[in-house]
Amino acid sequence: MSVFFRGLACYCPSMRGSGGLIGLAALAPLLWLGIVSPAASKSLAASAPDRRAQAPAIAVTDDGSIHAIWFDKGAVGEADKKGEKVKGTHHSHQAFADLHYARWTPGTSQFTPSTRVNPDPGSVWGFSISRAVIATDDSDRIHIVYPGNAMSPTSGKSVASSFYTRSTDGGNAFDAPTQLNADPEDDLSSLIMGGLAQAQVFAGMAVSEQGSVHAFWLDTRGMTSSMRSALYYRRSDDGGAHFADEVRLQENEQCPCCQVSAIAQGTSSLFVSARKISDDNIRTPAVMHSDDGGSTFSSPVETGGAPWQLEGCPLKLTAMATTPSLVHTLVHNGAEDPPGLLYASASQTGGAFQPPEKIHPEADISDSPALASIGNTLLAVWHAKAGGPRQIYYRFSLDGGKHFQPVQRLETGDAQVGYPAAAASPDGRFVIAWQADEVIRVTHLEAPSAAMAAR
Amino acid sequence: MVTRLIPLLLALFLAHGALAGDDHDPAVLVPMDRNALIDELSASEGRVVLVNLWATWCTPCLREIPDLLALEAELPGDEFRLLAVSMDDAYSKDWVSAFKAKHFPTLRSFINAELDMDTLVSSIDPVWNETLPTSYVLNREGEVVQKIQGKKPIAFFRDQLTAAGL
Repeated sequence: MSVFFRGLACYCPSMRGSGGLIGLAALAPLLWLGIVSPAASKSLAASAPDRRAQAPAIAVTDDGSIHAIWFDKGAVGEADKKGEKVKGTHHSHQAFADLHYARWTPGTSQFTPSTRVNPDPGSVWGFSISRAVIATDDSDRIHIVYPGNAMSPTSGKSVASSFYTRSTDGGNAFDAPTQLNADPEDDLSSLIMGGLAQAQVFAGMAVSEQGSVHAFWLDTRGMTSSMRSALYYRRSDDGGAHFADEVRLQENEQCPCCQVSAIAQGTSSLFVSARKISDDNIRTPAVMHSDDGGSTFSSPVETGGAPWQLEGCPLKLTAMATTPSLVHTLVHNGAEDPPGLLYASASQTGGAFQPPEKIHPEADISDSPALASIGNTLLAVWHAKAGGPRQIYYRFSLDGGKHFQPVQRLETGDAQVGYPAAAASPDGRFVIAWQADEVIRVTHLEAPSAAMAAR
Repeated sequence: MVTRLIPLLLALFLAHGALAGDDHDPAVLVPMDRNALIDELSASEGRVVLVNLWATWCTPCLREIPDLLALEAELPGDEFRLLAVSMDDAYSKDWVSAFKAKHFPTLRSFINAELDMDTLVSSIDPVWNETLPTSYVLNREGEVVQKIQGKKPIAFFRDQLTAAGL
């Protein structure tokens, strides 16, 4: 195992020139104050320093390899290609980005140089608010869903679609992408504005241990002036080689720019979350459950919190994780005072969520949640401001969400940081990725032992 | 960090030899960093100001802009200022300019030149939750007296501006 990820050491960017590793003894006063955590090890850059990287997502395979993806917006200083004319048409796409992939393998000291996942340069509809998702399965396949630029064959206008690709060789190569959604026909440009005739994006994906792939996305088909999207679903039962026909899972009741999330547990349990719009534009996160591998889903169950009334773009996904008996959610609610992340849990067998609680009560603002779990150990990660600039914070629960350890700040140096992602590693540790200025950084994080946590 | 920002800083320097003000050419989308935002607001003291944060990817924002332009047209310029800021990436300035010219040619707007949205907006709202559209009403003393999230009808904006002393 690489020294860069092992041991009680902290990487301080200000000490790069002198190696950057400092011992636990030097950190002791800070640890005592609870300012930095002993659990985080040195971080590594996954993206190149001369590129503009956004919106990281990560997954870990059984050998401990970390697979990271992000949107590459071009070289630093290079004008965005957004809006270039689409070849052979009079239209331009709203965003031209690439999806980049890099891998860290145990025993190595750095990520592989990144490679472009999308075959055609600039074909990704990439913003920090339209994150791609990545997951792995027991066969070490890597599954990715990302938003891409497309053209409606009927209207001839630009649309944004959801694409799936996979790697069956550890990330060395990715299959040609599959467009998950059927081509939208109607031209809804006058409704959607912004240069798109339709949008089938903000996708979530869950992959079962055996490799069943479940992809969900928000879809403007059927949208009216009430500006609500439908929720669509498509699944593969052969590791992503083939997909069944798309299913219209929810009618046009969903917030169109709120992002979907999904997780799988075991062979047949699935959870999917979107933000439903009720009367008076109240946008409430809700979770649906399937216990039969996606054949049927429960009605949406709201995760709770003050009603957030908003005719706007919250762009807030619901992070989810499971422990043996519970499903856990962490989601931003703009109606709280101050606005922040609410944690809630519910039984996996159904029923209401427990009343939500703020994950970071001392924060002035908290957002961008991620959850990961190993057994009954649950990790919550987010960015927040607590009397200073935005930082990455986290909390562990060692008892399946009944109690949480104190809030810890991840040591990230003096960069502008945010948008964390989290994943569980088979060695019992967790992995966090985040955006530092415009570089994607990754580190391991160890949960405290129950004995240490009790002190 | 500074090296990475040189192109943007250069653009800002060229664009900000002086305050852009609210009489700049609407065809020009002026890059704005947090200092420029503070400077523009300082220069606007004595007037009620409506800061509006919008983006090309935010449909409710785009549907709201005609109402804001109507407010600007109906209110005296020495009493009121509409200060619109696109939250699109400054690297996309050319495309956003073309988009704005097509859909809102009379809108005088700035564009965020910081690395992310929060860096700019936190200069007037440290607890902004990156939700669009967001608008702020500032009174004649330059104090933020109202934060408005989500698309609102023009009558709502009128009420807020009146409450702010207009």
